[in-house]
Amino acid sequence: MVQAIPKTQPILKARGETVLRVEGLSKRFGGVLAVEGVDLEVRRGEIFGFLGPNGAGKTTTLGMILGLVEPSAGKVELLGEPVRPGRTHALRKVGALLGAPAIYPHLSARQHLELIAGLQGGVSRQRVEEVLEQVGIARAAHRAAGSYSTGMKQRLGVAMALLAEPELLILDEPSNGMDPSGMKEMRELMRSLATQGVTIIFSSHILHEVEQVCDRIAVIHKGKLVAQGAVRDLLARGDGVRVRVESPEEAALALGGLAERAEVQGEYLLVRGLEARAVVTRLVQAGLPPSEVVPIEGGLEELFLELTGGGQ
Amino acid sequence: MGILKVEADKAFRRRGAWLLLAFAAALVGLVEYLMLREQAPARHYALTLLLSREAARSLGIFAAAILGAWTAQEYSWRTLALLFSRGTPRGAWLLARWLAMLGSLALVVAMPFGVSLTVLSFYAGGWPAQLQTDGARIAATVLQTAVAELPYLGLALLLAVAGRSVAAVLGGVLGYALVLEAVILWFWPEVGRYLPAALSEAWLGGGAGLGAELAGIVGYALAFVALSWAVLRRQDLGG
Repeated sequence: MVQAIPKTQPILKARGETVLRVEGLSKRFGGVLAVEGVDLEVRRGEIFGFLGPNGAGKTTTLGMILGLVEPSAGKVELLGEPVRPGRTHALRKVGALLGAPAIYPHLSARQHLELIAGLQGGVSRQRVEEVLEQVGIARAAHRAAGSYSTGMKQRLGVAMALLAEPELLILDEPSNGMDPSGMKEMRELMRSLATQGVTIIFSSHILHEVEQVCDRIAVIHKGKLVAQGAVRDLLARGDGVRVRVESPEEAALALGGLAERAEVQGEYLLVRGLEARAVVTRLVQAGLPPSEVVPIEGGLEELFLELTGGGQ
Repeated sequence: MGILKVEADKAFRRRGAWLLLAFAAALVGLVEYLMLREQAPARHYALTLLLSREAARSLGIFAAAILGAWTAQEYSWRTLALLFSRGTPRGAWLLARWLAMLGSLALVVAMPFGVSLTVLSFYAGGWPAQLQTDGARIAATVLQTAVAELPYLGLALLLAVAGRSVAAVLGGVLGYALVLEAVILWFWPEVGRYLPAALSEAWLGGGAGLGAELAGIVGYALAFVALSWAVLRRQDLGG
């Protein structure tokens, strides 16, 4: 059970201040430009979704933010301090789970947390036990982590990220391998941490999960940022109307220039960027009265597929 | 200091490491027992020291390869990223890892002396009388033997950091120490005399002086560690 336990030292800093600023970040691996000119801004206390198809450059970008990958260009400022491979003091205030959890197979969960505690300092034994309870692996804490299931390894990764009560939590696919109840618990944990002032950068392929927990999102595709903003604002871009007309192709031509996008789907026409009333008025004027009009609310999945060209 | 304790804990919490050490100790003890059984008691003490030194040298090379392989595992397990993403300075980790490797190597090199002398004491019904006068000399021999292995330990660290692969470290260290060095020494002795094997042999044979051989041995080790640092400091560890 992943539980939201009140933190012993709540973060009492101004919400809304910039925790992470990324400017013009690029990374080239040989001849391949994996990340190109990415700008990001993450504010304190928000849950920020970082989305993109496989190979889009998400993990490389997160790696640069964590000082694990040296940028080819651009800069990262974390809690007011520039990040560079080698040493960044601000990283001590960051908890991260990047991809599959990094574990020592021969050490137990408790030994992993003790190891991180020894590394970061100032972490009590009580905090170790508290985090083991929080992520729901207290009963298996004595077992070698190599024997854990994928979901339990993921929980251990989250525990290590949470241990030192970070100001910024970076979770890359945290619910990988978890069952539905574990995924729900993870969402509740993130919400609970955010209310305590912890900033969370969250990457997931489960888009409805992102839609449920994130305040703002950024979408990266082929190394470039293709959208960034409040979830509500970005979803509004996907709102539209589906109309049934005798000749959808003619109707699309009639709406040309007015609508952001008109797409023929069989005997229907999907129109985005134009209100239903305006669509109907225009089609009636063109002598193509619709027999059915259905307003559509844009979902994150549609938006994601649109921005990333079907996730390719 | 935190990272040094972390690296020491990681090294000494490996059950596999202790099993390997126990296996090697049993092997050394068995060889010592069989050897002493065949020899006159007057030769026992000298033979024990000879066996200990030779066993320590051979085991030292294997230990260097295994310690390097365990370092390479940090890449495949992605645990280096775990440490560095928490702000651990890369230089501090490298130094701590090197010191932990040195500690482990010292333990492996000291083990044959401890085991052989213990077997001898059981055989002879007590500790050899020479130990009272030779204790310091034996300790110096243990230290000398450990120092003689430093180039191989440094090479193992470099291969682990640059190759990020267990196979690269095991193949590289054992291939170099057991094959390549022997070939060079055989075919090009004028080049071979500057290699770690020849320098170590000369240094161990010539006493504990601070000669050119010792400088060469330490120089090799430091050069390998410095190269490891040069690779690690800008190494990409994401993904």
